[in-house]
Amino acid sequence: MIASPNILTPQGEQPVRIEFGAPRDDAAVRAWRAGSEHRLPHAAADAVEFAKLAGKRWRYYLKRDEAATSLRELQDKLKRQPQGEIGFLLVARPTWKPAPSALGVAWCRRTWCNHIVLDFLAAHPLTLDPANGYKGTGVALLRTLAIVAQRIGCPLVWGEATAVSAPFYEKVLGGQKIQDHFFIRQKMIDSLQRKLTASQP
Amino acid sequence: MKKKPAAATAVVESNVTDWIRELWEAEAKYTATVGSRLKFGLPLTPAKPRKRRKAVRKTAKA
Repeated sequence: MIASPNILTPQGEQPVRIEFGAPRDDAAVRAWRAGSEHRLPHAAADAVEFAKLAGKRWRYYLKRDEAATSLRELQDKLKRQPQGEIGFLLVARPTWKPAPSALGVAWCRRTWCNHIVLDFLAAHPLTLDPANGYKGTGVALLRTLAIVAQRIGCPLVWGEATAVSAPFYEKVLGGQKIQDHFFIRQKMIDSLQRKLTASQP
Repeated sequence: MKKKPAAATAVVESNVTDWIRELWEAEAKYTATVGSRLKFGLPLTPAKPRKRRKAVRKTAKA
């Protein structure tokens, strides 16, 4: 586990475990479905599709031995190949039951110049439906990604916002205008991970 | 005694700040979804040409 930030659930605030993905997580995200009565069908469809595409990338990088399944493995691979491109999947797991085994995923690539590209971030359709009372899965993944960035000395995380999510990234980045891309720089990386304190083995 | 390396240390939430709650609200309204379809929608390896099926001769049953 990298971090355990809180999210809002129907039972109140609960911690989620954010971990590096394992090979089996591909199957977990492939099982995501958007129900026919979902109140945000377009957002749910995006989440299902992006999670599947993230799983596809994940399999590809694993097959080529260019993926990391733990922070230690990522650090070791970077030590061996300072300019190597290494991919990793962050998975948000619930600490309560019943719940889907993956509440959200983020597929990331560390590039040759030590930046992180956030190719895909998707929360489970269940958590996107306002009727279900979940909030903060994506924020939890983003904050944990900031911890990974900080641990590998990465000064920049960038990604592609959708037409729907662009205002969220405007909020994250203090109101700056965001269109289809965003840059999370060192200062914001520090802010996002700073609030997660109190170490636990 | 050896110190544990930073990589093995996980961090937990102590208290959720107002700023994080504001981000929760923004996420609930807009989602935090990141991604695009086109560049990853393509197959990872070029498609192989399919083998032609042998023509099945239709025989009229008497």
